[in-house]
Amino acid sequence: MLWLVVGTAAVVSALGRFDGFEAIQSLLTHGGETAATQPAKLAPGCWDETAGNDLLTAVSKDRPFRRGAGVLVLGNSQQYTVSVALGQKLDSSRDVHVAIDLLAARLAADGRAYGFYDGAAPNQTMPEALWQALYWYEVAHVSPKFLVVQASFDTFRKQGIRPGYQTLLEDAAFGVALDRFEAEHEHDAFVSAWSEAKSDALARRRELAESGRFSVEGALRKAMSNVRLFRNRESYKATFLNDIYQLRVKVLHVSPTTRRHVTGAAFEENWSALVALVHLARSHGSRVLIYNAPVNPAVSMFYESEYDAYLQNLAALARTDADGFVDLAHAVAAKDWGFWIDGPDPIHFNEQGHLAMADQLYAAFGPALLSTSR
Amino acid sequence: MAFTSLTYFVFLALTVGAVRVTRGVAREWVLLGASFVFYGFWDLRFVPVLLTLGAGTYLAGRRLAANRKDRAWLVFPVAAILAVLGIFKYSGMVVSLANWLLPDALRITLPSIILPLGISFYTFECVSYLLDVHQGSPGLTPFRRFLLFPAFFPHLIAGPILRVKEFGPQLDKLEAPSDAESVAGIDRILIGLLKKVLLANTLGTFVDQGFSAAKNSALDNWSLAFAFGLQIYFDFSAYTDIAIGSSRLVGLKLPENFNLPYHARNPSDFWNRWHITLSRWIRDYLFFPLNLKAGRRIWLRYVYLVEVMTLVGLWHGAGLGFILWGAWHGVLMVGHRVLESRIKRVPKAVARVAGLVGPAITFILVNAAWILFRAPTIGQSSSMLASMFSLKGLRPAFSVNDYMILAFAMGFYFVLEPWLKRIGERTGSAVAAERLVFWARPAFYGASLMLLFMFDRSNVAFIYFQF
Repeated sequence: MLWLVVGTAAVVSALGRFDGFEAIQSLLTHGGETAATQPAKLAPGCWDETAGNDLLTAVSKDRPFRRGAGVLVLGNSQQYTVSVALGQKLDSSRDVHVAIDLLAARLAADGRAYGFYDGAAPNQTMPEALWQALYWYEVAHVSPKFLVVQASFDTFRKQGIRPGYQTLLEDAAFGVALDRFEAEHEHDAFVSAWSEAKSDALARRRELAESGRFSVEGALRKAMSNVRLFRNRESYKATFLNDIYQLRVKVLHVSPTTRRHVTGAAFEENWSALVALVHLARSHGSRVLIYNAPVNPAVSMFYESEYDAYLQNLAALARTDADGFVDLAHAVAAKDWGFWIDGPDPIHFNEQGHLAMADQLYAAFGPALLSTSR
Repeated sequence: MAFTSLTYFVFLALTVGAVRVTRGVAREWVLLGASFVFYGFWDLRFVPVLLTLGAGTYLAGRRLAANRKDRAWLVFPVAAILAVLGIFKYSGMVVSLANWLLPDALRITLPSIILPLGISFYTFECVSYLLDVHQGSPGLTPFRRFLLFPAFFPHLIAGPILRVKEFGPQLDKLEAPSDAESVAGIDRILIGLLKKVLLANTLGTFVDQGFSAAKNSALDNWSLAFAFGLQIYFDFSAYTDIAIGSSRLVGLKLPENFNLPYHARNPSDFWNRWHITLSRWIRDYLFFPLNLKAGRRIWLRYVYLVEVMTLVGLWHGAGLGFILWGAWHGVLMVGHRVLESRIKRVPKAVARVAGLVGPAITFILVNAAWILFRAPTIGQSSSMLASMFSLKGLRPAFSVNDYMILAFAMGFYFVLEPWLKRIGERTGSAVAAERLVFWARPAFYGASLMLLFMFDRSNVAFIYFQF
């Protein structure tokens, strides 16, 4: 028995000092050379990681424009990321210019200097975008003149309201607005994601309240944090999961660009949230402009029939309920896309791509954005 | 004090230490004290319920042992025990049903009742004790020994459901376990923890998300059924592993509760492999007596079988979903018996094919039934089952990761679980004979601890706690 206790303690101590998962990762990526994450840069002032963890703090410091003015932009990381192909270099000495900045600059040059608020977030689902928009419209009472919505088919396969968004629930007014909105949309598919997020947030709040009180478990955990292996468990887990992800790409060849179905519950939730988002904005007097996100021509991520049906529905929604629509699926040339893990980046592109996207956005939405009527 | 908490392991270490330094009566007091500390840690209000039920059963058992022909000391105490279970567990359901039937003016309001953890398990043990004593088993005396029978902490919350004949004799020669026996216990605990933390919890995230979705395709609903089937297996069998392992560390052996249930050849075989100690309770105290009553009326045996399985469903919870889940199993078992009686007359080749197809069909139908068990409403379960059996929509909509988790869990169950089962069931002497493995064990323990620390979510409760 003594051997077991001493031996196990020695192994635990050794494991706490040697991060085997880092070593595996290095092995899988040949020291990080062949399976790099893309060289990328984010637009200044965009969604940062801390905002992802705590949206309430992020939105509390921003009142980007006065009521009835400005443009609120909702979408995913494509909207604020510049990414280049492997081997290309990013100029780190200057800020990057993304499509939304370029569009804003052109409008300013035309005499319409709008305040733009980029409410884009990594992998932001439509139920999350709606969640955020509800805050702007019904709690912060910042109704923009325009709402620009990026519809990216890729995000229609993702579900849930992440903890960063759930922090908005700490604002009681948001909770009230959410309940009211939910009651009005009780038959919409996105409501299930919202309900789950509310109960998650409640559970987390309870846990937090309990952690404030003395508990044997809490004291033991505190004591255990003196053990390196226990203290570093979060970072080990992150590296381990990353290893699993890399293994998935290497061994099973399931990569970020592997073709996948975008149907079922996830799609329904996102679609119903998009429709509700458009109606919410319209009911507050905003004009709604929708664009279909650029798609990398070098990858074939979606099933054509599903993508075509989605695109047709999107155009139909825009025709009946929005004030402008443009399909930017082919806006960015293959050479302008970034690189990720094992091949072309399916979401992000370089500044040239942003320039091309801005051209098409300006051409499609310019007349509406420049017009003085509401 | 959840089995996955650090508190439990400190508690277990202290209890094991106390058991090792005491002997005889003192050792029994240590185990009894530890059991009540363990139970009181959940909620102090639970303790009087267990004590009262224990005291009542003990007194009735003594009377019954003195005069086995006096059925009053069997019937009334058993009725009282079941009434306690009914009040705590089913009064809410009965009142809602009554309120549904009664006019508004006569509506009944029920004060909120906390369901004591493990009550379904220890009430069944108390009932079985009285029935066994009535049938001639020696009773347990004195009171501390008897109380240890339902209250013994490793099995208190979620079984295995003990019989007095397998527990009593162990108390007569209660000894501290050998080192090899302790090592076998630690192995079993670690296996259980890894199953719970790595498999059950991971599957749980996928299952929770899937069941909260408004609309899934047939393929996704089947995936959810299999995922939940594996989740509940890994969760409950992990609990049992930790219970059996903990028990071995204090020198007592608990019966096995699982024997690769998804390897079952038919629905009846499933119940010989799933929650074995509940199955045998139901078989011995309900099904066999009813079968005797039915005599040669085969149809009546089938009716009783469905009724008994419906009760098994009800035991799991006061909800229509559980009842239908039990009834589904009853119907499957009747269907199997009918088929079996017919198949005797078909050519051998056909019977052989049926023998091959049987396990697959059993696996599918048993897993489909989990939908009734898990879906929050009957409406949802019926729409999920309708889509599954009509094969409406075969496109996968969940993420690749979800399917990979399911495939991994499935692979783990069919490939590794039989091997882990063998490891878990080794005797102390078998462990002592494995010298090389013994020396290599710290590496396994250290790696396991690392994984457990990484995937630890101590707030995730075992599914079977709610029953």
